[in-house]
Amino acid sequence: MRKSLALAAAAAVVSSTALAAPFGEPKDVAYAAQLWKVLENTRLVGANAIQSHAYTGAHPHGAVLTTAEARIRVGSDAGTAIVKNNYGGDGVSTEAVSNNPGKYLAAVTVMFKRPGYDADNQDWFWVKYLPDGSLDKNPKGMQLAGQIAKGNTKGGCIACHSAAPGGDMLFTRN
Amino acid sequence: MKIPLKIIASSSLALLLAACAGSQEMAAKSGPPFSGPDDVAYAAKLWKALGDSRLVGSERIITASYTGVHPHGAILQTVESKVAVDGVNGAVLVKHNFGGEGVSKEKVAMDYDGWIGAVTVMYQRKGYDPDNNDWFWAKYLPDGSLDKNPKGMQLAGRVVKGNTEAGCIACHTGAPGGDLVFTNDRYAMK
Repeated sequence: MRKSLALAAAAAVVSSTALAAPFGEPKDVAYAAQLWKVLENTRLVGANAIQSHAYTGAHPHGAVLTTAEARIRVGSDAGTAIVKNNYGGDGVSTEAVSNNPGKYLAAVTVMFKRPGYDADNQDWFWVKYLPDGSLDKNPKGMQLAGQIAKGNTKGGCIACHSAAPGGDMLFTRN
Repeated sequence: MKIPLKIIASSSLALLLAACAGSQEMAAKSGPPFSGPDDVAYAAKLWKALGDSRLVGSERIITASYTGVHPHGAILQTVESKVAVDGVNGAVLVKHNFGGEGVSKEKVAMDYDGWIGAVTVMYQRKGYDPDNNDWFWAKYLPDGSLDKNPKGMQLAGRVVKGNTEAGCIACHTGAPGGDLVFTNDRYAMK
């Protein structure tokens, strides 16, 4: 009796895990909101954000980018955050962005190395924010925060970043 | 009455010291436009404020490297922000200058501390130098001490006001937009 209950419970856990998407779930959305707050306090995003060197980017990121990284702490998770400002729109150029970054900011994409979160993928938590800190969505309406898109080898942050040299999923450095 | 020699000696020393102090004060007012004690002290406060904001030091925010030009490093990282010194807020540009034999963006990205040469800063200090957009200029070594010119003068202040050939101001005066900043034109004083 006890054994079959335990089995049933285990089966329930397995099936709910199988049903849950690797990103866009309420827990991911909540964590992304917490992360945004910390990034704001560190002046990596938001109205008081630092501005750094603008350079020419490539799809799927913006036509012009700035990238900054720092060690931060989210709750009890201490790790490196990499914050990329994605700029685009009519008349965008590195010069235009440098003069008026707010006008061209389209999205803020973030990788946060969250201890124990996703051992298969260097523990990165992936997010795509809109400039106001809300989450961008994919065409299916799923919010872009979490393991995006674990199990999908063709589309999503993980699929592309897996090709980065050095096995750390970072293109800038190893 | 005999006045001990020791007293005569020490009082003339006191007079001499007073004279020195006076001439130092004069030098601070009419002396060189940079490297004076006030500038050096201010540079130390600025460095502290930059560290607290994680713009310099071991906890600093790292940003994208790009290829630079002389007299700055071969590879640079530049951050713009605002910080307060003595309770007054001002715009700041912080440039990390990387260099050395064989330096490259990739190498810098793998070992920032190994290639850092200097940290050059422009801080818009209210009322400090209206002729030059109020910029306070400083060239720090990575540990926060001030770099010196060949004459041994510490590089902090109006570097070098009145010299049209060399120094921060001479070169940055050529920046478009009249704000002495090359990257953009956001800082012209209204």
